[in-house]
Parts: sequence; structure tokens; C-alpha cells
Amino acid sequence: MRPRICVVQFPGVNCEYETARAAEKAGMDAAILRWNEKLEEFGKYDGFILPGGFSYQDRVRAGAIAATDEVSDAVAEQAARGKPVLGICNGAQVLVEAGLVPGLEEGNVQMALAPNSGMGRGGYYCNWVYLTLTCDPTRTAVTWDLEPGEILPVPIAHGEGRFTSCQEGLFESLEAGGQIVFKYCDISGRPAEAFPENPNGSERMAAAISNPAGNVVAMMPHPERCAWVRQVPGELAGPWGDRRLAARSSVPAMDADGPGARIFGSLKKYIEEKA
Amino acid sequence: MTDVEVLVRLIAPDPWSFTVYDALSRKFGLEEIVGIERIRTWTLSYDVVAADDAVAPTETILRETVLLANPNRDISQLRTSPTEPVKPGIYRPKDGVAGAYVVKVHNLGDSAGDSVARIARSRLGIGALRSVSASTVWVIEMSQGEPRSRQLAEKAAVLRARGHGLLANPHCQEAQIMSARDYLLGGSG
Repeated sequence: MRPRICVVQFPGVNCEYETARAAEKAGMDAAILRWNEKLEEFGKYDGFILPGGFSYQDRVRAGAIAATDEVSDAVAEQAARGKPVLGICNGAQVLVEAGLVPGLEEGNVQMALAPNSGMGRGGYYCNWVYLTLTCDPTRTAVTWDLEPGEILPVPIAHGEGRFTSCQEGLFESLEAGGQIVFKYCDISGRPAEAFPENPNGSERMAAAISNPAGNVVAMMPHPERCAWVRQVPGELAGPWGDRRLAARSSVPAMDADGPGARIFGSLKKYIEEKA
Repeated sequence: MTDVEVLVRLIAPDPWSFTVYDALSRKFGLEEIVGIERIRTWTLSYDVVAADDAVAPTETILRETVLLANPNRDISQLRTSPTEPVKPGIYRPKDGVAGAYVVKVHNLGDSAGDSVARIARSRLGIGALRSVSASTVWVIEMSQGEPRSRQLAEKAAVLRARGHGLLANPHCQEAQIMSARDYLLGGSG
């Protein structure tokens, strides 16, 4: 049986359809559930994805209002039962504002995804970045099938993506506990502190952070936007760009798995093996 | 150094205020909250001594640009003293409000003000402008007076845990809680 994934649609998100398609492509059944639908059957899903966009128009702060919704409490409940939850971009902001990530103190909000800095100006920024896996692949639900240190090019698009905290020593603890899942890096996979490799000034170059159990992951880059080879730009340096160029004039090659599919494939495998 | 504060408020009803009101009163169960208002503020710091020397360039920015306020959409007011009462278009207490507090939220390391300062210096030639800082002022109106109104404002102000606090995330923002009467009405009202 194919794993069942629930893509939670808050008002103002705009990546729910491509996220559901990327999950379907990985071999899962994906359903989009609106934030105000009845939650009686919420427990029937094997995993949850909070997609990107601008929930509630980013009112107050990105993700802040969605984190107060009843559906976010339901996600927290399912996460506590060990089900995987992936928050992508705005979804990551919701998970952080809801205190699910980093989750060292249950329910407490221990960090923020603050406005971008480090590029000489603040504001919204879109580009392709490289990520390197910095934890043991089997530590989290979305890296289950990745190779240690694997490098993935993935697009980002956000104005508030800087993982930060006023809690002293928090990032040291996260690093020691393997909770920093992906770091921004250069093309060779070396984590890089400065812009443009680290596009938002994130502490410890963190691009994705998990809870201690590894079943909840907040990830700023968009894997659903590179789940197919055809979504990767040919001019992108590295093997994925080469693959895209080589795929020209071949529909099957263009429709092959892109780097983002590695994340969704991992999620599927995690559910199958953990369940 | 002389500071000038510009307060800006939407002419039309503000959907952000409704969203926050809904979150605090319905989702958090803080039913004594009867209204939320939002005012954006800019604090402009000038290398001048006389207040008039700070007011004139601020008026130029307001007149020549929409960096601080767009007159088609916003009402704005400039004040040189934080105790100067605001005009009714910026804030007027509603009937039946027993207590009102202001939560002023500032993004730590925010660059929005830097952009305004850079443009004002380079394009309008306002060399005396040293810095600009942006904040959001949330006015929380309550059916309860002291001390409950202060407690409610504190409950609403700083995000601590899921369902506890909303307006400022202390990991990237700082919040100041003040009496609305002192901050907006010059100590009266």
C-alpha cells in the first residue's frame, strides 16, 4: 500500500499542488487538506507536509498565525506519535513558530526564522543553493535514503529564512545532537558561512533543522521545485546541471528524478520501513 | 541627536488587526480583548539639535516619497515627542474599553530602516539623517481595567510556546509594553 501523505493548505500558501505532485511522483498518495476542514480523519495519514507560500499573508510574522490554528495542534499531536512532518519554507516557519522545531523543550518556541541578512540588504531572495547533508541519513525522516554528505542543489525563495535564537548554546546543542540536517555549502559540499552560499545569514549555515526524534524537519529550500530533472537549470554547475543538459530532447530523461525527489523518496522509504 | 517619530495607519479597515484579534480572542481564549489596532512607526534620528531641523527633512520624505507612508492608503502623523497625543485618525479609544495597552515590536537587525535612510540620503540629499528604525505598534483594547489589562497585554505580547504569546518572537524581535494612554494620548483620555 502506498503511504498516505497529507499536504496541509493554510490560506495563502501557494506550493501545495506541486508538493502533492512531488509526493505522488515518489510513490505516495497525497491529499491536500484545507486548514478549516474537519480533522476527524487526520490520523489516517502516514505523514504530513506543510508546504511553502505565505500563510495568512505573513501577518504578524511568517508562519505565526498558522501556528495558532487548530490544524497545527493536530500536526503536533501526530508528530508526538512519531509520524513524519516536513515543513518547507513557510511550512518550516510554521513549525518553528509552533515550537515543534527544534523541540528540545516540548512546545516551547526556542528559535526564529528571522529576516534575511548577510547579503548587504534584507528582503526577499530567490536563487539556487547547494545543500550538504550534515547528519546521519537515518536520523531523520526526510534523509532516510540519502548518502552521507550528499550534496543537493535546491532552489530557495524567502525573505525570512535565517535560523537564529537568543537562547545561548542552542545551536551548539543542535549540532551536537545531529539536529542540523542540511547546511548551505559551496558546490564541493564545503559548508559556507557567507553570502551567496549561505543566502540568508542563517546560524551554523543551517538550511534544515529537525526535532530530537528526527521525524519533524523544518527546511527552508524547496525540494518540490526540483523533483524533476526538467526543473533543474542547465547552467547550474555540477552533476545535476550536466544531467539536465544531457536530458535535452528526451522526455523520459527530463521526467527523471531531480535532486528534490531524493527528499520525497526518503520520506516514502522512512514511512515504509518505520511503519 | 534629535528623533522624529512618524506614525502610520491604514485609512481602510486593517485586515492584519482582524487576524490578530481573531487569534488572541478566539484561538487563545482571551475574550476580554475587544479590539486590536495596528500602527506602523518609523523613528528617524538626525544629527541636529533643533527639533525643527529634524521635522523639515522628515516632511520632505513624506511629501516626496512613499517610503514611510502612502497618502493614498495611509494616514500619517509626525511627532517630535513621544508624549505628544496622536490625532484621532491614528488612534481613538473605542467606547466601552476599560484598558488599553500598546505592544511596540521591533525586528532585531531589521534592514528596512537602513534602506529608507540610504535612499533619503542619496536621492533627497538629507545628509543629517543618521538612522531610521521601523516598528509595529499593536494597540490591545480590553474590557477589563488594571491590573488584568496589563496581564492580558503581557500574555499577548511575547511568544513563549504554542498558544502562548503572539506579537513578538523574542528570538528575532523585541517588544515594549506601554500604556496606550501614555504612548498615544499624551497621558490623558
